[in-house]
Amino acid sequence: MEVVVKDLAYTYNHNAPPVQALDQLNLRVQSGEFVAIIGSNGCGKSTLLRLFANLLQPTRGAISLGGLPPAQIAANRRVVWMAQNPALLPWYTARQNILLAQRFARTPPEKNVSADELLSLVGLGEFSSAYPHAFSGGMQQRLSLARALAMNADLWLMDEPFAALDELTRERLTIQLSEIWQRRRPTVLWVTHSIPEAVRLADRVLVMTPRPGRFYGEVRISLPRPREDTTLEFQTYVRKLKQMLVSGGETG
Amino acid sequence: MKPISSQSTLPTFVILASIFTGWEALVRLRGIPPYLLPAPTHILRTIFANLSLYGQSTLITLGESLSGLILGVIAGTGAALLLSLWPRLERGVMTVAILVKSTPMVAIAPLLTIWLGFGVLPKVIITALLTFFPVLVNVISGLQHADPALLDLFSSWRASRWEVFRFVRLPSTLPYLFAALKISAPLSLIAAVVAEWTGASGGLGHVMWLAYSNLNLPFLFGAVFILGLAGVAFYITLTWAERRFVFWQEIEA
Repeated sequence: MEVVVKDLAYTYNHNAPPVQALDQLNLRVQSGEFVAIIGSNGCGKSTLLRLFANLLQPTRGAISLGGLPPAQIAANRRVVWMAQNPALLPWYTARQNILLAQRFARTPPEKNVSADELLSLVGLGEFSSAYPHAFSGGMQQRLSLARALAMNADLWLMDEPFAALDELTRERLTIQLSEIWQRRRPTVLWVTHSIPEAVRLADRVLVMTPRPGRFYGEVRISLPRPREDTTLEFQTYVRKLKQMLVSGGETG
Repeated sequence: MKPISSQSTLPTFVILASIFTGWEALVRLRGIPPYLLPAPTHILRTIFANLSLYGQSTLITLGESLSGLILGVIAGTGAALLLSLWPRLERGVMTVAILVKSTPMVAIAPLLTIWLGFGVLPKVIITALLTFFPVLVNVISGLQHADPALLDLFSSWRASRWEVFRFVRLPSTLPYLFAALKISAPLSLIAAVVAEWTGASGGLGHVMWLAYSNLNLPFLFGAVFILGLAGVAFYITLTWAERRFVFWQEIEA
């Protein structure tokens, strides 16, 4: 699903002095592209995804998802949004949480990946009938990830999905997710704080300036997958992005 | 979620036992006459001597308060749901609700007895009126305080209003409903008893009133004991049900 953003701006007006979160944002993401977005705290990354998910309406400018504004595309259930907060239904088991998402995704049942398969993918296979309140923060986030995958969407809006995970789990899931992406080829917008994570996953990494958020620059990652973060090229990308993040912070 | 363990029941038992032993000792050593303060053993003997009368009265009073409680929960929940569907009604319904809440129950009870007689009905109505308000307020608050993260998720899923209601708002009211029940359940016993004082053909309140008129303190205390036990039973049942149905939340006992 191609994503096109033109001169996008968003201002939070419910605060006493209005806060301009995003300004003059332009973006074009090809169908099947994996784009990571990095930037400092409060630069409007989450706001951007919420605009794509149709939870907010742009103050100015336009978003087109596969040729349609978010308000219309979301009705087709082809977009999945995963928030930082795992947002699980506490009164449902892990399995029921996934089944509910699939019910809303409205994909034909034969196309659905089984809930148990998804749960074992994120390492929760034996917890399918447990309730989320018994889970650790990391487990909740993994369940939330499994639920997002369950929706089999064409566009994934992922807001720091690995933030609460320990380093090892994060690495393992990054590899698995990379494989899933290569198999299904959805368009992905992946917000993260971790530069190595962005380099490991993305085709292209965008760097945002502090508030109001704009795109400061971008780096195309032309490394074959799976990517080893010990290689020299990998480290070069990481260093380059770090520099860009620092100088972007100064201009913002 | 800690189960009621022997650890927590032991101190309770010790404290209760020492209160009753102290009471018993005080009455016996000081030779206090039963028409001022009967000893616990005396009260227990009175209960067992009049078991069928007490049993019948307990059934009546518990029946009244339970039916009133159930009616109040149904009406309160129903009103809260109506208000969430048609927010315009809120002012009107809340005015009536506050009116009901602020009018002292003791003031309405004699009226209802005069209009509806000595039977069970006026007691049920009083209890229901008393239950209605906390249930209404809490269920409304539960419907409004659904987790914003879940509301966002459902909104990104393009869920209809009904789906949001069914999957998010309704289950979110459960903890609030139980909070209301914990307030209402003991009140419902009080309501039934007070309503019986204004005139009744049976029930623990009726027994108390008769005993009071005859200054028969052991008899009066018998009813008080049973009411206390019933209150505790209500509370334990509710706590159990809360653990069972609102299992996802830490519950303070």
